[in-house]
Amino acid sequence: MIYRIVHRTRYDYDAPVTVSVGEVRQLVTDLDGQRCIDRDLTVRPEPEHQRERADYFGNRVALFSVREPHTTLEVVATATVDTSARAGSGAPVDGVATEPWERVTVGPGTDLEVLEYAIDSPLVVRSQDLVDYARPSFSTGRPVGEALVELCSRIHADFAFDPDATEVDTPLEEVLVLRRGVCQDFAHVLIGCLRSLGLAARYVSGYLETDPPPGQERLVGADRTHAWVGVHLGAGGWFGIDPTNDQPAAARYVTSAHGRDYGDVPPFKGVIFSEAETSTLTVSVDVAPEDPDAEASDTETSDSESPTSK
Amino acid sequence: MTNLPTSPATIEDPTQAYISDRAAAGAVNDELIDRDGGLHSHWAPLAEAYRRLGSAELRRRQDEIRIQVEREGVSYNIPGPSASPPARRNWALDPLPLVIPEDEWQALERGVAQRAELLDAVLSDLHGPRRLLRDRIVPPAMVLSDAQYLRAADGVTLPGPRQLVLAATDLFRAADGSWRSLGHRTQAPSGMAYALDNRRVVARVFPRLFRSSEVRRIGPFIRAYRTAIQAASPPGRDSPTVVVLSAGSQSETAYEHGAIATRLGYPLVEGSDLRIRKGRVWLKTISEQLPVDVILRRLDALSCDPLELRPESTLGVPGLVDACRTGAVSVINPLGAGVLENAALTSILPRLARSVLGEDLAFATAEAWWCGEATARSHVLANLGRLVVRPRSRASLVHSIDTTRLAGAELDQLRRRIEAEPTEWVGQERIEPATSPVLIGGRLRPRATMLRSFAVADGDSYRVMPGGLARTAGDDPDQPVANRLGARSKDAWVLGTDVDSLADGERIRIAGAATTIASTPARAAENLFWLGRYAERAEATVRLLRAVAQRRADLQPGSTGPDREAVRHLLVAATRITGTWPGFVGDDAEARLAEPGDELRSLVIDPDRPGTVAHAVDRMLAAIEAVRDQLSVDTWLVVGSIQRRIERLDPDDPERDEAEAALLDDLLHGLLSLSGLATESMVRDQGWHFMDAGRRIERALHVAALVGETVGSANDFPTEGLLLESVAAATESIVTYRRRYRWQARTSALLELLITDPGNPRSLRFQIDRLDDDLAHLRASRPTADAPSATPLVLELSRRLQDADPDRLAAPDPDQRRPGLIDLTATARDLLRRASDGVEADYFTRQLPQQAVLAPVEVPRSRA
Repeated sequence: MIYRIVHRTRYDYDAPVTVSVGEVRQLVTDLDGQRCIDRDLTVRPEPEHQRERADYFGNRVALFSVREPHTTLEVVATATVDTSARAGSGAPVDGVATEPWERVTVGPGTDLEVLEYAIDSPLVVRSQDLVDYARPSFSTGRPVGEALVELCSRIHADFAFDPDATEVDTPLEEVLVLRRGVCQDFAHVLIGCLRSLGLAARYVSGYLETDPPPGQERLVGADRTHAWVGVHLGAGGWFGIDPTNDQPAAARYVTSAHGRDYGDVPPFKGVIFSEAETSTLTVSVDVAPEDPDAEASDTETSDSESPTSK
Repeated sequence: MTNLPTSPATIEDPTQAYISDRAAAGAVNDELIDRDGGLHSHWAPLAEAYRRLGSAELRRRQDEIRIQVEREGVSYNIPGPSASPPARRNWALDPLPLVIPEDEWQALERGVAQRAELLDAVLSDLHGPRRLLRDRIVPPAMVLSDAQYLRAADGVTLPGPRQLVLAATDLFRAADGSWRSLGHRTQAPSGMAYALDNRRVVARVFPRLFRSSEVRRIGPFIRAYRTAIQAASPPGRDSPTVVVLSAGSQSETAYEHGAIATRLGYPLVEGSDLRIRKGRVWLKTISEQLPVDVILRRLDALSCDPLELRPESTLGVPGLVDACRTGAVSVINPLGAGVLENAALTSILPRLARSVLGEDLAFATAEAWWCGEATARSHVLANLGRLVVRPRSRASLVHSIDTTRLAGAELDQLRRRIEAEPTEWVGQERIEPATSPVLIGGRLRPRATMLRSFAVADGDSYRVMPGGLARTAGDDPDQPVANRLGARSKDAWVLGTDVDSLADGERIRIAGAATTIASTPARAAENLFWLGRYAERAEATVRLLRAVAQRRADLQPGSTGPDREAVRHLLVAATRITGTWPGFVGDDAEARLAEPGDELRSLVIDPDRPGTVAHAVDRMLAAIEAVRDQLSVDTWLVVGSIQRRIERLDPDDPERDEAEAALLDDLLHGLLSLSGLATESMVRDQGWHFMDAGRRIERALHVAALVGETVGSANDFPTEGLLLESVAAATESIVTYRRRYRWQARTSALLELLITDPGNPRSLRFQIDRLDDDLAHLRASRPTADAPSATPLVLELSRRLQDADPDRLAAPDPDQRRPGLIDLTATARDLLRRASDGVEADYFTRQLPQQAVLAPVEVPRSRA
């Protein structure tokens, strides 16, 4: 599939901001088998400095600095991306995924780039509680694909999607007790389970096609930035799976960045100098198939009056 | 001077006494005593010198050292619990040096340089190809999960062959007499300025002994350090601008940040002085933005950039990491260098040396075991109760734990912590460093001794400071050597002669090439301005309270006459002038007026109450500390005396009135010395004019307030006369007042003296003339052509003063009020406050509060 993505982030402040410096991880690039055809990032007011770079994890990152007084900051990332190559990767039971899961855990010979995702990260720390939760699906010798799909389904069934239950910084162990949260939490739970069993798993942030195919329900995470999980299946490479929607992250998913956990790849983070006490964040994401007949949808979502962190 | 005591009865041989004391302990591992219980041969000349001095003289020299340290303000801060401010402590320096003979030093020097080379190679690899991790020479989990392994700093390199510009290695002499290393400091190693201070003070207090001992100099090493800093500058910057980035006056080694900046000749800045524009770092000075090429950081890397590193840090500069990444600025040591302080990594240095350098370490490291490895963990857990356990990362808030001091339940708790997060812990053999003699309580006593050595990149190799910073345990011999535990310090003497090579000459030439910054950094200017204001406020308040005390002392017991009326007037005025309501004005004022002692005392000593002497002095000292690099060395003589006086206040002193009077006298003495220094020892540069402007504004405000609050209304003649005398006394104008107007107390005469007289350095008019002059000087350095906004306000006040007629000001209306005087003083106060705001707005451009912004991954739908 070829998708056209428009991701708008807008901050409205209640007092002038003199300096706004930001780091944006919304630049779609050639990751996870997708091909980026074009992309653009526009920041308003016009930054006095803006540049792109690759980060440690291989993501494209934009940095900007706005140095004129403003009360509204807008960041618009657009891209055209081809995900066709991932179309067939829907079934994790193929090929190596039939290997016993113990065979794809990390060991002395594992590549450093994979090992990185098997050890503790700031937001995902391995624990016995996570092992205990995951274990029923990972019985001895069970094919890894099967075990993974079952664990993913259990998380989807056991955890309620609830935007009010957690914050960006709610610790994983708390989520495990609460049994509710947003896609970030679902992803962290799955990553934590897999790492606790010795597998390498990473956090993927990106987008999900906005309009469902005819006759299907709109998925959670459409119109927004979404998050899911990449699991390393030995020689099979990375495999995407979405515990929030209980399905493989196939051709309808567009990756913007991946890292060890959310903390490595927030879509936007910044520093401002201002006496503003509240900021209103408005984010809209549109992921439309590249098809002239398709009707564009651009749904606004808004988080009103959230106090900025001080 | 070595004044030798003549009477044999007073002579006691200090080192011989030490050897005798130690003989009882059997074989000892000591810097002064050899295996056979005798004196080490290299100690013989010193021991002889101390014998001739005798114990009494040695103690006197110790006092002399203490005085010098206090005078120069050599100090460190002990962090307070959570948010409370740190406690400032004077640096504790022992009179006896740590002595290292030439041949021993040569071996040690090679070993220290070798370690720096090794650490540099490890750093380059961990932030580059990561071969050590790929090949599992370093277990990946040891490093990858360390918070100090900064992925943001991946691939950031400094120009030049070495990434680690300055490395510090902590050394001790083990039981077998050999030197070993305990660990490293690579983040922003501290201690170099203290080592310089130790040398300066000890050489001054023992001039003859020092000269005759052939001690290797530290100076050439400091020049090499300067050269290394400038060599790390981005290519193509001919005379690089270097700044020292401080972690602020609350940090543990705040003193040292200023001291090293002064010594190296680079400006001391804080994060808020720097900003990033067009990808480059700029220093904001009062007249321009200056591009910065090299930042010598004295703060933890994680605090350096709130955008990419720790968002809550307000000490750093948002965007600094990227400026390093693009090579626009060089940060020293590089941001990623903290990973080398990882205690687990230190534990495997011997095998790293073989793998990376292809050689063995010249001296061993204290044996340690990283609990992230199963066998090592078993060893540590099996030996809890014998080992020292420390967190892997120095970023941890936990210090080293000596498990021999833990009880059973504590050991179990520690065991559980290690088992829960084994990668975070390292077990280490309990070290017993050699002792050296330390003068405590008048006698030499053995104390465990550590030596922090410094190595600086020198082209392709490393150069080591001859000596370093020696530290010993403090009063309690069983405590580890740590500043927070009262550690003491020693000058480290490496015996031998310096070889001045041609390369040193070259180095001096290069070291001289850094840009000298003519313009004052904006924050320094702001601190100097407030230094002027608070110094003057302190002085004025002291004088006011002395005048009040004087008037009270003259009070006839039981009097209800003019003298009591005058005291009452002055007390009410004191509250209004200092702004310390309710005081003698508001609720319960009558009770306080009847018994004013407690309130007056509070006005002197309460540091938490704005308007008091102690508050002004505190603020003044904080401002001074923040501009340490801008002030003359003599300043510390004066500051030290003021600080000591304030710190030695005893709120429960029974002789309170006398003590209070003495305190006010001493403070006035110190404050006058400070203003004398400002007049006689400071170059009239921008900074001075800011300080003077602050002083003038404050003094003018005070005079206006004093006159308005005391004689704004007319009083009966005898009372008015007493008040006039007190006002003249409080403004240091009593002599002139009496001389000029000996025969009659005239209000208009005093008003002339204090308001319109252009020749009285205490008059309002005089302050305004000076302020105008200061502003004119500062205007010249402004980047824009606009007149400073304070200028018209000052001119307006100047005009009002020219028009003022003392006789008319003194004339009361039928209600006994002096409307002209009240109006003039009120107007003056208003204009001066606005002028002060104007100076701030024009030059200091306060940065708005820094806030972090983070978009949540998923924005909830609006729940309308």
